[in-house]
Amino acid sequence: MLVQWCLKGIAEGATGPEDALAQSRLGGPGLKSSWLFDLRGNADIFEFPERSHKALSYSALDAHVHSYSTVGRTTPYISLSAGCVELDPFTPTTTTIKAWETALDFATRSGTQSGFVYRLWVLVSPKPAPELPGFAEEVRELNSFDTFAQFHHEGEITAKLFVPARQIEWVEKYDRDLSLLWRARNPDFVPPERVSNLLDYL
Amino acid sequence: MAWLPPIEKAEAITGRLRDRIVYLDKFAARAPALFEAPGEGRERPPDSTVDDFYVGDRKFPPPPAATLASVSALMTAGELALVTNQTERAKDYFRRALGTATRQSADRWPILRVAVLGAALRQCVVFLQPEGLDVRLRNGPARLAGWVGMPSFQSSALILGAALASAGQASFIGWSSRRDRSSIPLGALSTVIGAREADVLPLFRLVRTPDGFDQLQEPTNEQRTDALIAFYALHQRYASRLYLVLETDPPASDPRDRETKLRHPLFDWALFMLHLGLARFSPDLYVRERLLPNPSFDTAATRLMDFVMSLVREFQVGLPSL
Repeated sequence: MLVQWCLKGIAEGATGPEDALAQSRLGGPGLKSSWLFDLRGNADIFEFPERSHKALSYSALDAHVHSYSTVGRTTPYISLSAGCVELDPFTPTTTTIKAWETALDFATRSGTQSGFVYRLWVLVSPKPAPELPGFAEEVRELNSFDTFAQFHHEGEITAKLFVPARQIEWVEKYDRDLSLLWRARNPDFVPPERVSNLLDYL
Repeated sequence: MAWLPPIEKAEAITGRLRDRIVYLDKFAARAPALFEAPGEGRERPPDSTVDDFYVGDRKFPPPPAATLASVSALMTAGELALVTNQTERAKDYFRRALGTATRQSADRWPILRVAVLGAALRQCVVFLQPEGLDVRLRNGPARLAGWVGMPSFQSSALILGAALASAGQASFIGWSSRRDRSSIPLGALSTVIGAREADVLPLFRLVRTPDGFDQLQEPTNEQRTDALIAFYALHQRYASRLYLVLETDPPASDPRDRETKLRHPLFDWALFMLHLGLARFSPDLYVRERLLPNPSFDTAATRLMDFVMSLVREFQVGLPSL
């Protein structure tokens, strides 16, 4: 398994400031998928494992990435950005697209409103396993996800169901000019070094 | 002239591109805060260093991540301004990008971007020396960046373009095949010679030889004709790119959630630099009737050539002469 740092950009809602909501994601269940919201009140907690297993599949991941406007309200996946190197097939050269550029683009809707950026880590499987909870999928890796080229430039890592709060280091709020308004650190954050394979001697 | 004339879709996304320019402008301004906040988990440089081939030169530290991010955003903003007929605005972005890129000491310049921007704005001269790429800023510092084995393939077209746009044939004097070729690293030589853009060198009165260039030998008529065809082919390639990006690339036709980014660049720097080089150093040749194998052609590629020539004319206004 790999540990991957990611950014997540979320635009602020149209109804007003959502600072409290943004900071609440540093606790509780963390970053939730739309599927979890959709399930709320409609299922017993003991049904959660079975239902989540039915929700996670290669086709559901494909729909999340390629038809988000259709499945956005019910998808069990969460898009994160880690940046990517994009091939320009015409020249042929590569361009590096930074995670920050993509995350802020989504958070502020291209600099037209305020939004939030989270820094977090996830475990990534080196091979596709979209039906397995607990691991994120590196859909930007075309050697593994060879039919996911359409939005490759977004450098997406896809988490499943939720990102635990303890894997979120901080959240920041930016205004439409991309100026930092505030930063909230997560006091319960657990750094990824705790689970890395670098062992010290006894 | 309408921008990007071969593509009808181009006009339809002008508003989106203008939004993108504004976003990139903001991103460039914020890059120092985003990439240089110590202790906030951002001190690790992003992999953006891969767009500069001298990052492999271990003698020098790579350019700061914030510099690369800012310069990259400003260059892209300028490219979009240029293709949407905002030439003065584009030059302003390029000047800001060059200023940002050269703000630190020369050994930390993102050298390829400095060479391209400086050559386009006539703010530097670029020479290909046996020892490396020699970039001399106008009234400023210079840097000779060693070849370090070889330049990457993807930098070769830009190296050629920057050299030709800044000094034309004279850029290659150090690489003349009449000199001692053994001092030029074979990797650097073969990579630069192998660039597709090198096929147009006879238009600059440079003859490509198996082991370098010869600026003393006059190209034959056949070499000149082949070079004209190669130049036209570069416009065909550019037209194909624009068609695919604007007409068929899903992010362009169906952007997600107000996303303004296009997947691939709309601007071909290497081709633009070749145009600048011809306009500056082969002005007699730089007329439509002499550049086209058949001036009566009316194709996407010829319309694109007309467009780039008009851009070059506008771009040259107000630039210093070297």
